[in-house]
Amino acid sequence: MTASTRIIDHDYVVGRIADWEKRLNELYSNLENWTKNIGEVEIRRTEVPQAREELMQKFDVEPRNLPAIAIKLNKNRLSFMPMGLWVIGANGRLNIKTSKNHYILVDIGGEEGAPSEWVIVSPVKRSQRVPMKEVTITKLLKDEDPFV
Amino acid sequence: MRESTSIRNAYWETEKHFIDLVDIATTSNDRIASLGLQEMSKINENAYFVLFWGQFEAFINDKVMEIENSALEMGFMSRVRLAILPEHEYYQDIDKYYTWRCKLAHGEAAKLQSLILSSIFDKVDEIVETLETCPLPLGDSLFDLFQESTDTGE
Repeated sequence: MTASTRIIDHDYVVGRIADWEKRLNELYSNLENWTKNIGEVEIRRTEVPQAREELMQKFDVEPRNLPAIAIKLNKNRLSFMPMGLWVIGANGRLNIKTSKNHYILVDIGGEEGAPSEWVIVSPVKRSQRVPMKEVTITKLLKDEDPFV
Repeated sequence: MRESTSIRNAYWETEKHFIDLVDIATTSNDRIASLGLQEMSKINENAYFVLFWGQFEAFINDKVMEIENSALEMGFMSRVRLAILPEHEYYQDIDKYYTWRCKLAHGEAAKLQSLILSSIFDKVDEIVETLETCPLPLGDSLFDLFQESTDTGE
């Protein structure tokens, strides 16, 4: 079904949220796999309350808790917090916070069941995007700049 | 756009503050604070979008005055049409952003959906750079054909 013929209703909104949760869990599983061989890493999955986004209000869909993850290596703590599914310019956004730095992670794929394409963007790094992969999470855990 | 970099920097400094606060609220299981801060972050990014857009409007005004000195009597999208033809993808982008800007600036909404401002800043800066370096109007296929035949010496 194309975007122009898609019916936006309660069930559609519920389905999009379920898909968002699934994509988040897939991302966290990848993070866990990529970090399991890096020293004494501690990983803790947690939950963050979901904001009631516009389409959820319109179709009376109750917010739920969404999965978040914190990863610790020595003194460095790294957290991934989902901030919104219906964002203009991507298919979902998370905040990344390290001990010293901040980043925005967005899914520029993941539409209509397509694979996710997680990239880090920064408002002060013009036109630069860093794909989230093993080398990226390794840099983040060391609090190194992933854009370099 | 004179203040593009300053606005990017100012937005990111404030947004980093929200990222910190959401992280603290969530870590301490303060659900109400977490939701409130997520909402404030959205309002913040929408406010910076309007500020950034104002810089773009000023750029367009200067640009089209070089083409048509009565341009300032036109509506904004009519001015844009002097520089970019409606068939061009940049025109569609500007039209979309301008619709959001009007909703925010005229009080129809205090916030839209969450915006990925990095992408919007990059797109607007790309449009500005193109308008500064290419013959106007963009998307004029007859002009492009003429340029092509001139370039090849035909």
